[in-house]
Amino acid sequence: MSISLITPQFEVLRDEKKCIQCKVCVKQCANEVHRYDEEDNVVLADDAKCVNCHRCVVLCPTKALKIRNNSLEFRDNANWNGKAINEIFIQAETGGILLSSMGNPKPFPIYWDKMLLNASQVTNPSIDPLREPMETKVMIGRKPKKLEFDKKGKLITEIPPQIELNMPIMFSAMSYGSISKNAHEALARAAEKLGIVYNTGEGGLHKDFYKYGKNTIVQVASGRFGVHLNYLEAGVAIEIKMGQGAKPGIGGHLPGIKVGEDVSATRMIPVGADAISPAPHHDIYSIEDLSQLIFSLKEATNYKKPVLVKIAAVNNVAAIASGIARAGADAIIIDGFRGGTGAAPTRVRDNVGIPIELALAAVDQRLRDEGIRNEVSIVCAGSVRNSSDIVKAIALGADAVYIGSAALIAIGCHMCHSCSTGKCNWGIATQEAELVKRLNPDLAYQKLVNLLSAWNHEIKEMLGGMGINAIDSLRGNRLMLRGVGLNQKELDILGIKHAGE
Amino acid sequence: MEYLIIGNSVAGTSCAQKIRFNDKKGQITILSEESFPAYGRPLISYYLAGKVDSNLIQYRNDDFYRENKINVVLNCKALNIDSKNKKVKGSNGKEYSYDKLLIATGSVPFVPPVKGIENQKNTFTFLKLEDAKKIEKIITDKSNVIIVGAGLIGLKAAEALAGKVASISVVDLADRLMASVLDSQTALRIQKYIEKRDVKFYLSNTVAEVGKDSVVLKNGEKLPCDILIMAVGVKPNTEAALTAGIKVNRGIVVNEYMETSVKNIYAAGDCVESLDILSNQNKVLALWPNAYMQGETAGSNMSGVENKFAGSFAMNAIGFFGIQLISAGIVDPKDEKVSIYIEENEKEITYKKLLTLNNKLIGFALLNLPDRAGIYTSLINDDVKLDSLNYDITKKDIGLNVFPQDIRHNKLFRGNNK
Amino acid sequence: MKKVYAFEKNCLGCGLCEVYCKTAHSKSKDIIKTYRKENITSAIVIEEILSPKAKTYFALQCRHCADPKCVKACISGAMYKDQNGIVKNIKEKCVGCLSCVLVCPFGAVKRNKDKERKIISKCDLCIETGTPACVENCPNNALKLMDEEEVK
Repeated sequence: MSISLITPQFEVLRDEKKCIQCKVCVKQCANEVHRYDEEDNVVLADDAKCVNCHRCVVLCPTKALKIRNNSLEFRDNANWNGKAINEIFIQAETGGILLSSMGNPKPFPIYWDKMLLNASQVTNPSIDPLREPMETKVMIGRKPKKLEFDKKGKLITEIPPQIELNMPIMFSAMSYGSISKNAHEALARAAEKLGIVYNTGEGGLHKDFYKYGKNTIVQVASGRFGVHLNYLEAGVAIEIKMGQGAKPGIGGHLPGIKVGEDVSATRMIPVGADAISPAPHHDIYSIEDLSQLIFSLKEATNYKKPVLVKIAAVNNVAAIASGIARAGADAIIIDGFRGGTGAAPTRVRDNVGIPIELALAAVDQRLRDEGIRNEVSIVCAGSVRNSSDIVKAIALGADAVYIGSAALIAIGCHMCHSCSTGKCNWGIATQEAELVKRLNPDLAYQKLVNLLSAWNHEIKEMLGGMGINAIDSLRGNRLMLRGVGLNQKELDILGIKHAGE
Repeated sequence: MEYLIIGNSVAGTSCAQKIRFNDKKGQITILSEESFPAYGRPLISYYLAGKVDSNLIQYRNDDFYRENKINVVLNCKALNIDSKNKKVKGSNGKEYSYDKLLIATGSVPFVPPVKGIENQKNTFTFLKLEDAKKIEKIITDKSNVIIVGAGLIGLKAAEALAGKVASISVVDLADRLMASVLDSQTALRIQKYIEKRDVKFYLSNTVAEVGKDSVVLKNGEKLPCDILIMAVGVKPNTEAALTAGIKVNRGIVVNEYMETSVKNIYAAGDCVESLDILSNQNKVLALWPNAYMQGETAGSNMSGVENKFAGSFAMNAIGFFGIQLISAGIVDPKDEKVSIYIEENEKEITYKKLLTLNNKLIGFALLNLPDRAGIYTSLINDDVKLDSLNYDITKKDIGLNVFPQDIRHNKLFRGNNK
Repeated sequence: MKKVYAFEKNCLGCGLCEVYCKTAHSKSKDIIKTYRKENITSAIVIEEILSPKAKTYFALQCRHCADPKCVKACISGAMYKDQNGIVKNIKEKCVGCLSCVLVCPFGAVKRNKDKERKIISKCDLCIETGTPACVENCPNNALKLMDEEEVK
């Protein structure tokens, strides 16, 4: 074996004046970065193993630890920077594709930050949500073209099945397997408490979580893991996953090492077997095929559940969305290129797909133009970071948003992009019992409740500021948005005016 | 209701406390032949060594007596018990009547006959605070001290005097220190350790004759002697009990309610014989915790709440010269079927000895390894089958993790300390 | 009465409870000084349970028994149960005989390693500050101060 050329990405800085050799860092690092030397009574670190997840930094009782980017600099080169060089070293050593986790970290434009919101001044009054009613409830599902009432004023139009949400936010699909059971429990309990929904992802539904069915969307993906009639009937809606923003065109791969007894039972696959989700659904090669699956699922569940279709935001997203609407879907989820993942080829994650803001605007516009916007709800996914992103998404035409990364961050994720190693020190993206335990669902669920309660409050404040008292009145109301620093093409696609116009 | 307690050490105190817990009104009187408030007798060596202040030696503070309305009569020895008329005659000339009586007179030193012992006017036993105070007064850095007895009391006396006197010699008939607790190897190791602290041992030997300023040993050796401490052993103090015609073997005979053979008279502590659960025989187990529990049991029954004493077994926590020795149960077995596990570290002077029989722990001795010893004690006390545990107790340091989860949970969450 | 209960399913064995226990019982109340200048024995024991699947842990401290054996075994009267049910040790009275260690069935009374002050170390529920330091600083809520009745 020759010497490795790969240089550590991070350095662990320990303030010896503060270190008390309590060994909490040693015990807490699943990557075995820290070690205690008894002879010299000192704690040492192996920088190469560090993923910069901050577990040790946070738990160190004397705050003696800091993690920095490795200060070792390759010779200045704007093109061949250290990262580019190290990636070549890695691939030259391993011969494998590069794997990454979570969302695209590259400095592509973030359009949320180039749009600003309107507020009422003088001519129409703003509303104070603490004093006046303010509605953030939304219904996800197909809406009738018009409503008809009988003479007594009773509604006679049949309303298709809907998902009722107390706020326009849902937890996006993260499978049991990619994240831990405790993470799922936190999401499920938070969804129940908040009156929203979480999503099983493609890993099936653990038997312990059927009781959260009213707050669950069950997913059917290309691997069809854990799909059976009880499962389909367990949730309030069924989601067909056609694509994922983090890795459009790519399937999934849960390594056998993460398939323990519980995951095996939930996914209905043997213990230790790799769970491979194919890139396409092998029974879907056209919109017609998709329609067949949609109606098979509706048939199976007596047309009582909305069927949602999730796609990645790609070049022809508007046309594809139109097809999906016509195929009978009750809602379409557009997942932007910043969406997270447990594991994706780095090159795919960083280079495939388009920004969600543009995709969302394009889809909403297309469906309006075709007069079928009422037939589907649009859910915006792929790196929604805060309440103002949500308000902007609604104004661009979304009915609701999915949050994944933000939810994980709330329960401890430090975005170290190492989910694929299965050694998540925060107990989120791991199946190792000793690590899973670090995520106490009692604490984690409360954090999710706190986060979304705060966001809902912020949404109400922003709505009130615009003089709007219901989130429905903001949907597609692009007049409430103005662009800054955007070119005409971008403004056109977003369907918004430039600030000052 | 009148409760009378003879003896003011732990059994008497715990009895009084328990009575007051059950009976808020009754009159409680404790007679003490000593002139000090109750103190832990094992503390006298600490007192002599200057490790405990005389104002802190009191076992329970004044508030305890006030709050529990317990009347303590000091300097009053119980001379006679008249069980017919339910009266006790005190050495202060007063008579004390009772409805329920506890005898908790403890032990008295056992002093074997030694030729010429009357020649040494500085001859002491080492059991009471009074003894320690007397010794404290006369020792100088020129004193030559002879201690007869290399048991716990003798060694604690030696420790207390070490460094304060010119010489300390410990004489014992046995071939080793603390023969009842230690095997010969461990005893030898401790002996060597103590010898480094200027204490000389004369073992398998005895004082043949006492002179005015010297003693002659059995082997003919003559040692200078200014102070003679007789620490051979103790025996139950049954003097008062005998005046009432109570049945006495080696100690006062009691049943599991701590009742003596005479109605309304109970006994507890070092003066009684009680069930040794390891040998299933009645024995005098002169142990502090035993005395506490017996006193408490007696107090409960005296005040109308029926309670049984479950029996106990030998146990000791001893510290001297910086050494800690904790032992319980049978440590020097006669039965050949007993398996003995020994783990030692000469450098650190640590030693662990576990004795098992029929799938149960029957005894242990831990030298300088006190941590978590109580779990071993509980294994003996609770008659735990060793194969029901999570691991072999000889293979790993003991912890509560030795118990299967349900039992552990029961202990931790339901507070079951059985 | 309220006691500290440790929940195995949440205990990580990280050892922070020990760090904060020592600090709470130090003179300086400063973690670094406590470790550098004071030799304090934490009143908590962290135990590891080896099972084939994964290590589990639990932290253990004095159970403040209803009928405490340590109080009975104490030769100096240092150990007592106060009106609130808390088993306490009066440092000044304790002579370090370790009789309490001999009888504690939980192994929850520890010898203080600081040889100068030959006393024992046991949980006092941080009665002076209100919330036990271990409970306050447990990163995973594995230690809870709960009422006995609530637990049963």
